[in-house]
Amino acid sequence: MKKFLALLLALVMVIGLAACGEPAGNESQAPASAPAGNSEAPESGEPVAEGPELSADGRYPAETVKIGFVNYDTTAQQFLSLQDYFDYLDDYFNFEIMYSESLDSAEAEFAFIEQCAAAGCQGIIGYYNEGREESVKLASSLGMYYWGQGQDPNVQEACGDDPYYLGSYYVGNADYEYGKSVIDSLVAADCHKIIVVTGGKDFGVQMFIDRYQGMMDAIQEAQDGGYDIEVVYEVPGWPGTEDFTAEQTSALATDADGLASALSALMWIQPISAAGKMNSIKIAAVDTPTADMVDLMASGLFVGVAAEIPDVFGLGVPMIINAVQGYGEEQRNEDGTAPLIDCGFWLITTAEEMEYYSEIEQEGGTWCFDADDVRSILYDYNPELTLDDMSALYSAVTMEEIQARR
Amino acid sequence: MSKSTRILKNIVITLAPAVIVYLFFLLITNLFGEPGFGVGDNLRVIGYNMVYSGFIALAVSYNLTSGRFDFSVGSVLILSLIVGGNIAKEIDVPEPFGAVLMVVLVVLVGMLCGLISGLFYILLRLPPMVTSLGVAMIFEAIGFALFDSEGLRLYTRQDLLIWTKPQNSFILLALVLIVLIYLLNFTKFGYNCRSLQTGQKNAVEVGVNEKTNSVVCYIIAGGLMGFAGIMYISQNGIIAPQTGLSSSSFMMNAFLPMFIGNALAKYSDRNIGVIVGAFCQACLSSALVYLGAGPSMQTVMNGVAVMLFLIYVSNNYKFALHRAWREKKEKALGMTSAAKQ
Repeated sequence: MKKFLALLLALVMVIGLAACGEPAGNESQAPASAPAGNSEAPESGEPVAEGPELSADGRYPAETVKIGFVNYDTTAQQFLSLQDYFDYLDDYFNFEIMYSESLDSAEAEFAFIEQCAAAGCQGIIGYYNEGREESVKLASSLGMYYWGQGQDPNVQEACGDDPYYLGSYYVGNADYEYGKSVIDSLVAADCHKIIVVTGGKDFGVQMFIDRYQGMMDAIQEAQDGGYDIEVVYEVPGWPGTEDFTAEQTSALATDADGLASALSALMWIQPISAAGKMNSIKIAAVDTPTADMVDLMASGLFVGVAAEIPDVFGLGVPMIINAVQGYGEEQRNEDGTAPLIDCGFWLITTAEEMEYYSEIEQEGGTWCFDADDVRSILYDYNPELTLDDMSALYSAVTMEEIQARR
Repeated sequence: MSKSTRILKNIVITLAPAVIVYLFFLLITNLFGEPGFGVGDNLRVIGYNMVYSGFIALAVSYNLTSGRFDFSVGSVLILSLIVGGNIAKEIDVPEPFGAVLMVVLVVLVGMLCGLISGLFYILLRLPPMVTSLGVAMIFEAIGFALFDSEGLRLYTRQDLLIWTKPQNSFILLALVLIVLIYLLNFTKFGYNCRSLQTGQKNAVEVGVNEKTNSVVCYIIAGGLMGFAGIMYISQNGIIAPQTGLSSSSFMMNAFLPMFIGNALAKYSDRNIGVIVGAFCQACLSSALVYLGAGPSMQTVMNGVAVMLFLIYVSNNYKFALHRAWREKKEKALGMTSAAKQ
């Protein structure tokens, strides 16, 4: 029986490995690259009149650029969207992403970065960064470019001059801004008594601390401006525990008319419904746009969603490709330090916006930054490119601005 | 002691922890000027937590009492909910049969998961903790791969989420308890189960089939996690897949009720004892929230409660020994004084 099980296991592994490979004939199906400003790609093998050297299947650059991706939760909605975005970009650009598992410590992060170096990666995208500047130094010592951690001043200070550190996107203190926006949405919706859902704030998770601080400052600003607003209950933690359920029930027993959540608030819909308060409480949350939320916004239950744009992390791909292609110096600040590219985020307040953003940010969607946008920030396609151009592109994220680019 | 007196005494001892804990926290919260504990909405949430954690604790108890530490129970909850719930969502059945159908489907998938766990355990002959870690990872991965990794989202389907209403959840719990009490006390499986718990080697030598019994325990545990999943989704309306063994956090709700249940088993039935334990834990959680304890303090207090209870359970034989010694001493003193006279 044991031999049979061992054989069965081996067979399953072989099938699994085979399933990971490229499907037969895939090369001929992959779209070829095209000059900037044109998504229609020539057929594979067809000579391209102008532009940089391409790979055999018509993608830029000619040699595959391998990039390691440090992740903290493989099930997170934002990560799943980002994976789809990379799959989309992969049709146009010759890069390969090596994803980590869900990492939960600096040690695991360092081990993954070392694995990436051994696997021939030329760059790392730091989507998760527990190791902070040490992760950048490690990647640099292994000859890999590192992109990410723009919000952390210590990283800029310690590694800003390192030619292997490529900088990052920058939304100011993004989490702080998300928190502020959530409260602003509730104020705009005429809410006065607020339940604040703090997520991991009491567990010392920095992003939740920042979001919470943003919320509190926004409340203070509203009060200073003469608006009557107060926090009637704070709910810490996540669903699945008895404490969270008890906190939810106590919070909903108050006379709150607004709920500000530092994390997804979808788990509040059923309790609010069970408490018979669907028409008396409005919700604003930090979340990822999804099709489900369109109806929730149309119904008036959700009045604001502050959302990080998944594509923003895709900026790491062109910046790493630029560096690998020898344009590392061109995409640095005048003083030689690594740049922070200004980026926007979404504050979604209408069902129409939610529908648009959720539609573009899914498999088969047109995305916030499409292949043409990405091509426009590659030096081989746009030799006149400046850092200001990058910031201008990544800051233009409203529905109107995206539509104007299409 | 007459039979009726003994039964009455056992009933009182079984229910005493629940009553004492409830009254204790009622007194404390009122003393701290926080009335409202244990009544109205708060009692409803205590009831919900009792049923939800009770199902998980019952599931864990069927294997852990026989020395099988099952890490996969959380992943069974998630997978059974994702598969059974999504199927139920697609089937158009009039109210309230949709909710009942969802229970049936989720519990059946849970039992199937339990069967797979049990078969892995008896076929691989590895330590149960090792096997269950592997099984948990497989179940987590399957839950993640299915339905576009979206898990189960039912917050727009109020017709399916009826099980947090106290009358519904208590009916569900009562039906499950009746079946479990019958299984554990009045069937060959139950006798075998208890004989294996008290002495596996002897039980196997007298002909008890340990493998069959283990698989049945895993199936029961799987079904119970399905019921716990129903309670979870009815409260939260959404469940996301989890990976990296993070599903194991679901079983953290199980320990205090299970230890209390085991301690009360000699007075009534382990299943009832577990539910009494779940009620005590739910009172503790709600009281701490009422008293304004932060998450860290709640975690510490829950840990302290489990530790104190374990210390008591591990040492309570000393009280019996002391009582026996005192009785013996009194008897000896009585004999000595009688001899002197």
